[in-house]
Amino acid sequence: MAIYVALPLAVVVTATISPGLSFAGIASYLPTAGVDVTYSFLRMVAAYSLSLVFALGYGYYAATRRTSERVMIPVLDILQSVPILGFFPVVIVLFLSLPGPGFLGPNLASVFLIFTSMSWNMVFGVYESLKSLPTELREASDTFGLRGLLKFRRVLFPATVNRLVYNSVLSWTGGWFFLVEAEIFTTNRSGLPGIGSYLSYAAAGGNGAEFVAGLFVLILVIVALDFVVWRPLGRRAQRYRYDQAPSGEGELVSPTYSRGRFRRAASYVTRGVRSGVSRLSTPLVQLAAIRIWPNRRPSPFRRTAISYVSVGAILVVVWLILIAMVIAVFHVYSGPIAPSVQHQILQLPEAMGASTLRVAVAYALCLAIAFPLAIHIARNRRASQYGLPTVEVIASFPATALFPAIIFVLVPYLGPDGVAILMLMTGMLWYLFFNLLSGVRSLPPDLEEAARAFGVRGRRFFRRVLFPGVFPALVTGSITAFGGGWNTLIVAEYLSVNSSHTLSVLGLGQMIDIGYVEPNGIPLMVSALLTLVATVIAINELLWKPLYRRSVERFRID
Amino acid sequence: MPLIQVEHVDKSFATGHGSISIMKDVSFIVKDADFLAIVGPSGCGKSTLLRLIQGLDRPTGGRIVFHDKGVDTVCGHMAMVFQNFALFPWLTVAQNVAFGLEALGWGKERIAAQVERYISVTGLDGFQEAYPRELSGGMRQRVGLARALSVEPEVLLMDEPFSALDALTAESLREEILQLWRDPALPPDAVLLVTHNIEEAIQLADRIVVLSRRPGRVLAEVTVDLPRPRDRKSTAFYDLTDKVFSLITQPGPVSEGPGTPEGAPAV
Amino acid sequence: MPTIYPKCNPTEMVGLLVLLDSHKGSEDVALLARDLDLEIDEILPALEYSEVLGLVQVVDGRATFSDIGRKFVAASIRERKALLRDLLKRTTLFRTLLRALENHPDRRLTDDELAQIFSLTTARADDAVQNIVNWGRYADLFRYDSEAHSLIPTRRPSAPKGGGGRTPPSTTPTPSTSGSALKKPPTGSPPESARPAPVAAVT
Repeated sequence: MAIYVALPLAVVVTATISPGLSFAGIASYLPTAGVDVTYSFLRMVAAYSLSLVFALGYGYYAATRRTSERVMIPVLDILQSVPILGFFPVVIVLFLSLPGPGFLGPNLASVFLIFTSMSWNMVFGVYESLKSLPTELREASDTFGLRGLLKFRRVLFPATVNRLVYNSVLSWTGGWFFLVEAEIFTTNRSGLPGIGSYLSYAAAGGNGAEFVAGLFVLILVIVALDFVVWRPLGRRAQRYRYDQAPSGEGELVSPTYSRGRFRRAASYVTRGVRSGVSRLSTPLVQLAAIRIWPNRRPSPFRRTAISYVSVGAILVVVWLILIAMVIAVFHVYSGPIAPSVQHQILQLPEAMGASTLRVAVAYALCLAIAFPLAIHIARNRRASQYGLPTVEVIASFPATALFPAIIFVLVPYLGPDGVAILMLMTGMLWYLFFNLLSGVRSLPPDLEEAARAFGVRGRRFFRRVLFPGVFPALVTGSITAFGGGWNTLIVAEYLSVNSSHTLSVLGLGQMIDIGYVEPNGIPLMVSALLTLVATVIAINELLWKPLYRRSVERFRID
Repeated sequence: MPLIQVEHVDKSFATGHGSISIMKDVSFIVKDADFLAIVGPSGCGKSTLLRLIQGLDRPTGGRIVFHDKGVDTVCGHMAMVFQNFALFPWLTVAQNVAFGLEALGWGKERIAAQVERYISVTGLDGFQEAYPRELSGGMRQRVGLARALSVEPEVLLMDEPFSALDALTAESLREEILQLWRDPALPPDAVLLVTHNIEEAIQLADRIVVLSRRPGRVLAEVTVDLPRPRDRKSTAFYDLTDKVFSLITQPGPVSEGPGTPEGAPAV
Repeated sequence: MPTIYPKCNPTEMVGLLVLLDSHKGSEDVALLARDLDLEIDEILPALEYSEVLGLVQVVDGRATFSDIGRKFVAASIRERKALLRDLLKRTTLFRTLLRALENHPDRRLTDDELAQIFSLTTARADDAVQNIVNWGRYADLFRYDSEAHSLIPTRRPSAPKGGGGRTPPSTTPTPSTSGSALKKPPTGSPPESARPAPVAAVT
């Protein structure tokens, strides 16, 4: 609780201590910052309300109609493993072309985008809680003839409350991150007044006091929301659990709820990984196998190899076709493509490599930080008591808000690539950390005791006990971390604060942005987006999915 | 005029490998003021039978008649008590008891009075505002009972109501059920009890329908005309237990199909 | 209600009485247990409670109903509750508790205050408190606010609803022949029976 007060104050205090800033100076910007934050907040509320309604409807339908379920859930699975934010520029363009006042386009686009980021996990929350409604309760409500609104009020909605509150908190965290990112992105282009653009302008003008004021107000709003809305809601939602499970899954929003937040995110993204494209490719694989070895079943190794190759092949082919289509369509409607744009399109494979490399490096760095940190906090009581709340609060703050400032301050030291990687890390670290934390914590104490009894310590302990035990959580965390990374690409690789401070590194995110910014750049934008999607799916299928399967088969502790 | 007629009921479930027959040609009658028990080995479909009678599910063959009319949707004149109590954790005891009454569309005051009545009758006074998680198993089942009674059903259906309770608590509740059933001022008229505990069946019921191993068929209908309260240690009691037990355990046709079918009905 | 005895809820005790009744009101404890396929120590808690409340006498390993016990088991569900209410009120523990509840400025007793009154050590305090609360609630002696974890008085004043005896502590509802068993918990009673009602200990 003290953390909440401490954090905003700390910001202000450190700011005032820095040279060139004064308390009064900061205070003078508070009103404008307040107004801008309100815009952002309103967008969040709009997106959230839409998500809630959508989640309840879609989740309910999927849970109750067998036939719809078979379509709705896989669709959602695939959609949600795709990085949303990559679509943002495309969506803006689309909305901008709609008739109506100028401010409507970008606002609708941002609300729509945040909506998509929020709603997946909420839909799954509703869906899963309805499906897991105990049979006896279903029968009891049927026995007494409950129907319609009464049934919704007494049975269906309460059954989802638990998960909904959990997932709402999760959604808002992600939502803030993406909203600020989106607002920063549109700063100089279509103007989304909000805290993101506010911070961007402040950084562009080199105005420290203004920037700090913005940060302060943002922190205040997030903290206030947490305190006034989420915690009380979480407490009330306790009533809706089924069991007095001592802690863990039964427990809902305890003081340390945010730990669960990131784990929840993980479970939903891994769903997407688990189903996904290879569902389509399995029949093809079987077909291929029969063709090549008509007389005997190929060995498992061969089968795996074939599936890899076939999935890869399918993706490449589909990708090429789609890009060709995009170009053709554009050609038909707007004439030939400018040579500069053509040139950039040809650079796509290189861009893909660069982006992937960056995300991978960011991941490695995050791992290097998160793993020791998680181990330390999990096994050290004092660290857990003080460190954890702090980390949780920090994690609930959208790091994207700091990006404009980061460009100013750090580019000279780290170089553009370094800064890009740093920004990517902010979007990846927490997923990894909280999953690892939960993994280390859930290591059964008797396994540890047994290891100790046999004198297994230190590095060997790590190799033989800790690492395997944590492996599933590691995979889950990695999957979501990568997901976060992909989503951060469009601001991490190309950020233009003002004409003299522009961060631009070759990559898919950058290409999407450039495509958006430049005239006639739409084919570039769309192709880059397609490439991004293809890359993500490829990595999901070829890396995460097998890893995940392996982790579940070999390493799960039941 | 019998209350319920079960006529040549078959029930089978479709699985990935074909269909499993749970019950075949089950027929019996439930009369007014009956206390009927249905016993049989596990998997014989007795719980499913109860749900067919209530109307939660439909038979694949044959039919179930209540008061002259076929049962094809959930019958509002019967109420069920569940093995694991089926209480809604987010509702208080009073709200749980009011559950069925709300669905009937009663007014608030009428509901409140009815709820008070049955809470008092089942000994739940003082727990109205409690949540299920605060209650012991015995108290929870009482809530389930109060909920069922409050809609004043003609038939009370009980699905292994005591098997999730410890021995002493079950003993206590059995006695209370008998008290309630015999009180002419209270519902229900008849009770249909499904149990795997033969002694319990003999202790409580007037007639026992004995089902065979899957696919369940009626092996026999055993009448229990021992005077109440029944002495568990009497020879007559013991003989009856023996009789039912040997009926159940006699070798019969091998059951087909793997395990229990899944396919829980949609919400 | 001695708090050093293991946990047992009212329904279990009633179950034991019903069991004893089916054995014509008098039976070897061992045989009682065997009847339900239980070990003796599984029915001991219920047996002890029924002894303390004066419903059953155990002599030489044989349990027999007292008059009150016989009356109890013959009564309806509602009547049993009322009887239990009276019986509990006669125990020092509940008398103390009810008085403390009435005299408390907020007219409520938190779990901790409760534990304090009977100086329950923290190791068993939660269980013991829950047990006491359970009995009191069942007998409708008080209510329990689960959000605030505290005892609160019943809704109605001293006079009970229909179906029970009168409650003012001074009058005994039934003529009892074996009166001694009803006054205070006999041997094995915890220290608190020696202390005066610690009203001051509440705050």
